[in-house]
Amino acid sequence: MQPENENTEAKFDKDSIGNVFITALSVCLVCSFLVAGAAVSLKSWQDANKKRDIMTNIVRVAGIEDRDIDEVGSIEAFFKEPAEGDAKDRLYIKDILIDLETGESAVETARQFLGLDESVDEKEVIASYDQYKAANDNRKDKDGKFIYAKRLDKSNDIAGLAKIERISHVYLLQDAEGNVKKYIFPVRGKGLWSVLYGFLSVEPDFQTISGLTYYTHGETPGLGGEVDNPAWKKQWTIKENRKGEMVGKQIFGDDGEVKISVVKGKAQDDFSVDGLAGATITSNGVTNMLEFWFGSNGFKAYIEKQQQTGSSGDTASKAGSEGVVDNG
Amino acid sequence: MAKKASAKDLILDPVFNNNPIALQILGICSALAVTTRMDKAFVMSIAVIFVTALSNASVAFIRNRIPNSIRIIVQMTIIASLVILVDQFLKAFSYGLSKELAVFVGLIITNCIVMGRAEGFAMQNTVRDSFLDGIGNGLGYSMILIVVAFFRELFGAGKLFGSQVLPSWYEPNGLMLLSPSAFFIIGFAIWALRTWKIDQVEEA
Amino acid sequence: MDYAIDLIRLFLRCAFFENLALVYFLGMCTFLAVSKNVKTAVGLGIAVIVVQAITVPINNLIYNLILKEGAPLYPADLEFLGLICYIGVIAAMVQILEMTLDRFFPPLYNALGIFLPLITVNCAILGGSLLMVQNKYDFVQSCVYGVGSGFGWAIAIAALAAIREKLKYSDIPAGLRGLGITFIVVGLMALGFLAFSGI
Repeated sequence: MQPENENTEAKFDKDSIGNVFITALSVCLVCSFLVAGAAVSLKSWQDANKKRDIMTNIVRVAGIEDRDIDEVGSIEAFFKEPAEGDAKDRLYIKDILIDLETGESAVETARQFLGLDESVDEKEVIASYDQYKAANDNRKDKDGKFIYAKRLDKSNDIAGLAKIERISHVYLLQDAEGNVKKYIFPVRGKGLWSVLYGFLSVEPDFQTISGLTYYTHGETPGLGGEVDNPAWKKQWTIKENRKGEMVGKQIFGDDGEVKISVVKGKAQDDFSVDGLAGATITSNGVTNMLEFWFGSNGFKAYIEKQQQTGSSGDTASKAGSEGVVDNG
Repeated sequence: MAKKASAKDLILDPVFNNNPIALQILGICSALAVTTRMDKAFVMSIAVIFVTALSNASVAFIRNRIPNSIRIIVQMTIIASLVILVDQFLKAFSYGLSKELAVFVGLIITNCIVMGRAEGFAMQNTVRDSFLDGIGNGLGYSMILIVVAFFRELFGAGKLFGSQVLPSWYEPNGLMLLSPSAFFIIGFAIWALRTWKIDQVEEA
Repeated sequence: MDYAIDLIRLFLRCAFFENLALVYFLGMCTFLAVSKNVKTAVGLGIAVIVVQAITVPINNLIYNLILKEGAPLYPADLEFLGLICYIGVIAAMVQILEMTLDRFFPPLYNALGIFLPLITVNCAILGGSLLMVQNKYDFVQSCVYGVGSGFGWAIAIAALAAIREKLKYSDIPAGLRGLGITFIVVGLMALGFLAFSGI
């Protein structure tokens, strides 16, 4: 039996207050250094991955298959302008920024939003513009209205977004001569548990849908999460019907109003898509999202402008924003 | 003085004789969720081996300095940091997998294996032994994971690692892709293991 | 009124359709290990409900006020600190609960015994907070979610314990005895709960 004194002096008391502090502090410091270090140094890779994921989704919804990608070389290559020697029918994706209210190009406003000066190339401005960040932007002009965003009031906020951006990306799948084969719109809307973010691909007639895909959402796996099910997604593509015709879902009805919807049960016609079993709210969310983004607060102005330009070469923009309430 | 366990024992014991899932009842949660496909199971396994080995080693390294009052929190902090590192690396180098494994990578923190071994082994053993024990338990966990994933992906989708293995006349067994099947398969795996290693059979 | 109905729906959802134990398979280790008899299972269940009901709302506040990008108290994106924060809150909560029970409700403290510390590593608790963040609930919703999800887990473990007690009278092959048959029983229970997703 050793005498008490020798014991306490020779042993290090790990339960002393001092040691509690020192250990706690050192563990915290080391761990936070490691974690923060990793987060910061890996950020560029992670951001690149996120970007790539979005590009992949755009390319897929445009109906481009693996072999087309292999031909071009990589997903990123699809977004590059065609070079001099490329084949006339080579498809690539052009990223543009449009003002949702007027339907016109909005690169300069985006440049202001990003705080970039004139020396920065247009393509870079477009590539750097994050519309979801813009939707959260709080900068106001002298009249008290949001400059880069727009608050929606209850009657307009069909998709449950509260506040949206003024400038949105639109992706054009076109050939080297500038003929647009498909228009791809970034869309989003509230489901049951989350906002579903996705891309919708539309034919040049602005009436036929050629694809819908969601790349981020938090809906219940097996229920609302079935928006990811290839079988359900296939309904949004252009397929051969019983008569041998290639048909796709139609957006607008005869009255010019958005008619496409996700119905309960089985789809009856070209304006409806099968509902998601057990996920009424998610299904409604999809319908509402489409109604919103093809309405006056969404891409309607842009679409009308494109339709005008297409038929008469008239580049005057039509302000298709009746009913928009600007609450700033 | 316990006899110094050989490296081989430390690594191989937890695979069959003292399997974390089949005997210690640790690490079950993730075993059920990430075994729908072999690639998911693989990544999860490697992540768990990595985290368990390193956290065991770290805890063992400071085992004589950790005050009792904050013991659990210190262990958790170390484990949590390692897991965040794994998550950050996944997001940077394997984005697709990181999206699928989302919630579950975070759950490695509460994976009872990691905490269980930190508390049950690393607090009383050397850095070298703890590190090896971590690898061993990680391997034991991985073995079950891979076995379950093998059956679930093969019979549930006819594929292995995403490539079609069974011929097209095979109608995939949807039940295999649903979670209850994981329970059944583990149940049978335990039955098989205990038929081989009779000493693991429980008293009636 | 709509909001109230939504909350009731949320409660039923997280207690049954998205049951943490039988649909998400969280908290399995303790679920399987502590379900040998009903009394102890119920004790653990109640402890889980209490911890869940407290930690989920607190973590919700931390996420919305500090961690997420653009949060009022600290705008920079701190989401990567999420895991450590939530776990810290849970560990601290369990420690505090333990001390409170020991001081004010000794009989209950003794009855729960070692289950209290076990809750810290119960993946269902951390999983609940992570799911709450992923689903972006607001504060009230997270309170309901905390109570509901804890309740669901508790019901599941109580049910399993009841079944296992009955199984003691059955003739089970040696290798399956105990853990093996428990897995199969839970598998069947999970199958049953899957029926909910058809609703």
